Amino acid sequence: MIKFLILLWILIKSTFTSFAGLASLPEVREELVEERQWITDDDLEQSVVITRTTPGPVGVYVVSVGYMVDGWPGAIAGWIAMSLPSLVVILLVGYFGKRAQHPRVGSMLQCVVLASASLLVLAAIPLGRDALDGPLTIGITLVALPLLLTRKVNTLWIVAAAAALSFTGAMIGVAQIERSGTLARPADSHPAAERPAVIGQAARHAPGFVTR
Amino acid sequence: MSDEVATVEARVRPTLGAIASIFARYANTTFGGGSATIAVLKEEVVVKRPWLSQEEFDLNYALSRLTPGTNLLAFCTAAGWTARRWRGAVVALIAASVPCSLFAVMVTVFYEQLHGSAWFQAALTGALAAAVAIMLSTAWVFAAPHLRAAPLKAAVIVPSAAALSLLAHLTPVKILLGAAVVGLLWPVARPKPAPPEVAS
Repeated sequence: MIKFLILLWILIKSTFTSFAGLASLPEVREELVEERQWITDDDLEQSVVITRTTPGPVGVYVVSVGYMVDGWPGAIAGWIAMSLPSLVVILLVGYFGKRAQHPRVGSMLQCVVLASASLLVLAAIPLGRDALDGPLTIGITLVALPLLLTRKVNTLWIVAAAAALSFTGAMIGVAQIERSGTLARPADSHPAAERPAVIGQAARHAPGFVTR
Repeated sequence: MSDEVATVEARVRPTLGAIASIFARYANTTFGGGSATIAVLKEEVVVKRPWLSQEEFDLNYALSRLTPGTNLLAFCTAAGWTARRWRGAVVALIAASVPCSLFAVMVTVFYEQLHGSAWFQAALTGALAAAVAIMLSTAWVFAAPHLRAAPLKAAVIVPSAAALSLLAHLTPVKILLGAAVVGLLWPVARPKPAPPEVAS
């Protein structure tokens, strides 16, 4: 119980003092890897890879970290720490919502949204550098982009079709190699087998990920 | 691209079940991080279902970027609160955070097996390629209404934000706070006075 409470306090402290999903990493690392040694750098790296390989918010890495430290109670601590700061937004929306019609507040929101869009394009660059490693993945992006912009196809279908295409491409590739007798293990056959390491490197360069 | 969205007066009050369904479905299944997921949610709660007006969406999105913690969950909470106040906020937050948390634990448990699976990695590669497209389209979806409404502001803010990130290496929250200050100080056009009524 004590471990749960300490873990909960550490994770809440980290998430309440950061402003993006992975921005709490340095604080989490300082407390859990360096001071208490409850997890290793490899564990932390693994949790970042996991959050990149699962859909949803990247901040969910704290749930993975919590599970590594203390099993299911730790995962619950991670979930509480991830979710609790979100309630602060209600105070902000309550305050600014009443003033939303004021031209200066409208102008402020407009500028924040424009800056966010700019930062989002920048965030897509490292992801694209890692993910677009061949004609198939480049083709997926080029086909998906106009479909998304025209809103003709639901995003979920696009993600599912992209995953299925890549999966099928890997299967065909493996089958061809197996026929030529140069491959024994499918796990070694596709360049994507190295993806977690690549993603891990990208995550290491994410804003806030500082390894000292 | 259709930009038909509801006004504040015309928006629909959703049931809590509908909030849970939409946020569980879309907040937990989209790759590409918080903003990409918010773009998908915008399509669902602003365009397809008029739960939020464009102005309310902008308010919720901008403030969620300035809230501590995970921006996506802050946005879901804000959207739920705007639609159904406290109950909506709590339902949206739980629906957006519990399934992905369970999934993250499952992947943590089976990490070694998944890490070594070429099939899983191949499917993931495709999903991430789609995520790149999602992120780029998201930037356009968010910026487009403001590029048309305030082109001068866009011409200043968009390249400045990119330059501050690339050259000065400022963190996103510092850039967004800077953008908020610029927006507050930006000269506001005074409304034109109404024409004097002609005495009959």
